[in-house]
Amino acid sequence: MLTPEEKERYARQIIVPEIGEKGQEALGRSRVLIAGLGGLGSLASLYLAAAGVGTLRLADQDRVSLSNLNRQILYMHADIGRIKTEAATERLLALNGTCRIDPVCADICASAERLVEGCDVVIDATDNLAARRAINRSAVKLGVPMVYGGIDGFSGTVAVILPGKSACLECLFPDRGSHQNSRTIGAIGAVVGMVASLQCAEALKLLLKTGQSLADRMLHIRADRGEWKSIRTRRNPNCLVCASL
Amino acid sequence: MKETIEITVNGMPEIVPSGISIADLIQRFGEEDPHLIVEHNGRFVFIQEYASRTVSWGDRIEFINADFGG
Repeated sequence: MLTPEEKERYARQIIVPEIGEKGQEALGRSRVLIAGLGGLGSLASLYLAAAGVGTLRLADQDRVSLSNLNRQILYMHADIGRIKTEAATERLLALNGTCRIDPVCADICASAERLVEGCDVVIDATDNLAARRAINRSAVKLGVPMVYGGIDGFSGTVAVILPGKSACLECLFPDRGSHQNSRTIGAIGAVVGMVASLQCAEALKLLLKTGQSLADRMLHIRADRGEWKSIRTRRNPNCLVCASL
Repeated sequence: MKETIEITVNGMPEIVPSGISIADLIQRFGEEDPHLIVEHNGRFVFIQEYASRTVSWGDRIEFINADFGG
């Protein structure tokens, strides 16, 4: 049951036909992993905490740096040098004290399965392919839907992975064991925001079991051209991660 | 003389040899991204299909660089 304060806090969501009080209660019972607290994770954690997702597990092992602040709007200038999970927890609880925050300051590659376990949805907000592969493998293994989001300068991509039902990350980008790219990727806050917002909308639809998800499609944004389009995907019969499901 | 066809690559009309494969198109257009996304008439093409899949007159090919930053 929603408290009177919750009914007021979420009033504008509750009047959305696809949500209602039942949907809002469902969000309150949900647990979402936000893997990575960079640009995408900043926005995703703010939106999902504000929307009333009951528990957010936040995973990152970095500290806030000055060069983060053009896009990682979860943090303030005064947070520079702080552990991201700590600064994030404080900020998110200040926004919505009813949200339970489960901060995990750890290497995502090394602890992916533990991070994904028990979550209803995973937001892949990592910033490198190795971490994305680790989160994808664990999400597929544990059967947890994952919302992929990636950015590169003015372009961005969003896709939903439903384990065993739609293409997973490995279906699309098979690991051929080479080509580790160490290039520093350009990131613009406004473009990061577009991608993170879409990831949150997909996560909310999954939690509410409503709408048509972005599974078996990749939404590709070209903000430099003011264009976006979806590319149809499907499961790869040769996928080393999900073909056996 | 080898027969040619007209296709659209990244939104631009291009004349290419008839029966050209995706793998040959990638080489012809100098795409070097190891995680290149190839879209053929709106559909994602798997890496294992690059050598065997050919394009036909009027097909649309897009080469898209994957976005892995966050």
